[in-house]
Amino acid sequence: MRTPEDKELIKMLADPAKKRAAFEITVNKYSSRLYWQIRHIVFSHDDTNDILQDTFIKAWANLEKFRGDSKISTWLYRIAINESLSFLQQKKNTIDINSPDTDLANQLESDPYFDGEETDILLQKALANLPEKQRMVFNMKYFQEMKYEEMSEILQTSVGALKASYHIATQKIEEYFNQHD
Amino acid sequence: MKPLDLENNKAVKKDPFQLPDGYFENFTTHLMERIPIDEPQVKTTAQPFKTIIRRFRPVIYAAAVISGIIFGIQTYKFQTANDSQTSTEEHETEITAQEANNYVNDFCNFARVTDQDVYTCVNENIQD
Repeated sequence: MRTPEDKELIKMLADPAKKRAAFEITVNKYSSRLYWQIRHIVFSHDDTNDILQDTFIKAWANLEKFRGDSKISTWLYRIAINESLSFLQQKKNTIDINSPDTDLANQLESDPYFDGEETDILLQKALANLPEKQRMVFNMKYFQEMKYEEMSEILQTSVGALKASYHIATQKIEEYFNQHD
Repeated sequence: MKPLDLENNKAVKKDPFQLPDGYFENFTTHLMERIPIDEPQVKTTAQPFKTIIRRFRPVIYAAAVISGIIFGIQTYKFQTANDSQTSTEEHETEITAQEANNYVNDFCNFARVTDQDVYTCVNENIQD
């Protein structure tokens, strides 16, 4: 459900005279949430920065197609997820050793923007082994503490399927930890 | 290492990812520099032409329909004229054949040859 602020922002975005100012407000409001969503998919800060910018540039280019029938955040999240998955797909096409996701997780230990202990690194490696959608569900629920209803709108999946997906993801992660204990 | 308990392990819930200081403070500024500035003046000069086309569209459509009807009628007339000319030519051919038949009959009468005689002669030639 759209908030009154959201409705006002959508109106401004549709007005050519106020569009640019409204878009700046949108970027300020949602850049942090989108950043963390992307970061948990691609791991690297530099890649996240690039994808985040591409997300907003794509949103600007397609502003006229946004009819306001969903929340602005939902619309932006969808673009961000698509951009992230396209990025991973591109990496898959260029790297033929192992999966690029586990390769990214292996680089975390040397990443200056990763401050985690052994458990944290192992968790990210366990996540990297999950299917992409399952990993996204886990990240959105566990780290970003999103409600299932909001996730359902973004990922276009039923709440029941999301709950099942999260449950399976946690089981797999625990198994991974038991194996690497 | 202890088995992981995701539901109760708050230590793991801490997000280990970090980012440079002041990243979000500068992000919006840098991004807006990449957003092109719209120039609405360019659009307004093209609009009068489009408006004229829109206004006269019904007239243009009506003219096209009428032209189509006139063209159809002319084509039909032309076709009909051609058909009557063809039938006239055929009629002339028939008359020519009729006249030829008359000539043969006249000859037969002059040479005192009957149709039976002609028929017999033709049969004899075929058997040969």
